[in-house]
Amino acid sequence: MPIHISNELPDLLVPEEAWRSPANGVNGHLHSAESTSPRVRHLQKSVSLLFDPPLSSNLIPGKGDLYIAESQLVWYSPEKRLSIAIDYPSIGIHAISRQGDALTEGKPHVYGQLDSMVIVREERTDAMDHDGESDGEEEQACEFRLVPDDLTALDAMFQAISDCAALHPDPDAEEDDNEEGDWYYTPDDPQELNGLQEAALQHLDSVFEGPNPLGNLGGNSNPADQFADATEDMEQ
Amino acid sequence: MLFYSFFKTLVGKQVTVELKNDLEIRGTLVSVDQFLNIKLDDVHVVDEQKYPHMMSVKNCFVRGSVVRYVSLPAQHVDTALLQDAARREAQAGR
Repeated sequence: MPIHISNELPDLLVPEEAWRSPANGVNGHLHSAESTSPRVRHLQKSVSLLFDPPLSSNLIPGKGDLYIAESQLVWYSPEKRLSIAIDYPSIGIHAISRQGDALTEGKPHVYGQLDSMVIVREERTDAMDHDGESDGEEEQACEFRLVPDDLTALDAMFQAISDCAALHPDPDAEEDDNEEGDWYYTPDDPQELNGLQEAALQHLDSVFEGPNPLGNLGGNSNPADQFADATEDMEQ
Repeated sequence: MLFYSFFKTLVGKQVTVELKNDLEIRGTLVSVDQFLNIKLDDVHVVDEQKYPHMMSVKNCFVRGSVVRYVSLPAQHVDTALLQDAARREAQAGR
């Protein structure tokens, strides 16, 4: 679950609206429609990327463009020809910091925590060639901060990163399921269930999603959907 | 599947999530998905002295795989119902 550092922006498919928006210039590295490249959910120009602790003494990312792609979180500075791509499974938590902190000089930002960081340097810049530690892989705990010039974009960035993180479930979780498969069966596809299992699952859904005996529902992001049945039940 | 359904009943409630790196975050459960990724609002870090930089965090997304424990509000957990559901799910898996 590493961080990939290279000189090139990976092939990415930027959505139409990002091309049209005058705020987001067109970058020669990007493909359009027919491409099979990973799709970018959100493109945010002019974002400062800060690592704490720093990746290395002579690798200060500074300001660049943030591509929240379905494959990876990619930050790229055309001026420095520096691309830093983070795999979603390595991001343990991410959050919106509304007040900022000392590192961002009080600017609100998206905060991320990397549980264990492995840096893979794919194509080195000249600066990195002089860094004695840059060979091979390094591992350390790390935080990152993304500070966009346009602070109104924070929520959209947070949402896009959340959506993309959910596309990359942990491989370990699936292994756990398999190990426990003898007695604890959790199919994702309802068609895999036999009749008895289906009945049990429907019962579960009904007991958990039916009218709450304790009342006090709410706070759901989509209450109309989830509690549509409950409302009907109460009316009957 | 059971825990996913169960956590969905706690949306809107205060929970405390303890991460495998010992960070503890308290907040309102906004959503949970099938991988037990957890979204929290109005977040407070339990040990603010140890993690002062996390004080300004208000909304957060916790990856399911980094969660060690989730502390639940006892008054919102129907343990008899949960026990029954767990038994049924175990039976269904046989």
